Amino acid sequence: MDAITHAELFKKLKPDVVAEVKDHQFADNLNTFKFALTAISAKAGKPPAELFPSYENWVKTEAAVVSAGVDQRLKAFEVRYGPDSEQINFIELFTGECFFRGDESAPSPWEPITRLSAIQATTSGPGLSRVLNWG
Amino acid sequence: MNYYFVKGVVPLPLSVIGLSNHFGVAASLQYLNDPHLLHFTGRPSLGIMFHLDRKEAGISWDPDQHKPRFTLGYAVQFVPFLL
Repeated sequence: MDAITHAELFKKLKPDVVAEVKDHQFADNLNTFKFALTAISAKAGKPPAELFPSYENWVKTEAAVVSAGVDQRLKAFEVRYGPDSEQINFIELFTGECFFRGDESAPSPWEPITRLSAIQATTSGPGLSRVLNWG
Repeated sequence: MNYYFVKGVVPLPLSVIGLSNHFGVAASLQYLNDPHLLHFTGRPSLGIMFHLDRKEAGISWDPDQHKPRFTLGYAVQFVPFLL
């Protein structure tokens, strides 16, 4: 039994454990729980808010967790593809898409380098040179 | 290979030198003699290039003068998606 399953079984979920769970698995669990609430509500013939006193708090918490997850994902994509990242060429794009795709929670942190820097300052020769980077 | 801090955590030694986005390292190849675009004459100079956010700093061996050479640059694209 891994640490996450153990924590789920014993209801000892902590923020760091939640952070280890991928979005897809988290969404599945969340939807399963919501379907169960909806089924109970339909069976009882009452809205969930009447059946469960803490239902509104749960909805607010759910919205906050989902919002935080979306913000975290957007931040990761901004780091990887935002204005502070390097502009890539088609070789780097295709290599990255083939070998470093990332997952649903964030893009891959790895980016291959295969480029010709047209102008760079150097300490010898004419002072300027072109540099082929590979790595 | 560049490593982007997509998890939002920048290692302390790298944050001290001002990095906030990514760090990378690559092998470099330069030709100093009569530099023109896609024009290679003379002996190649091999080295290593560090990518510090969009700044680039490298060191390579000058085979003609038999001493190390330092290079500084900034990551820009002159021809989108090509260079």
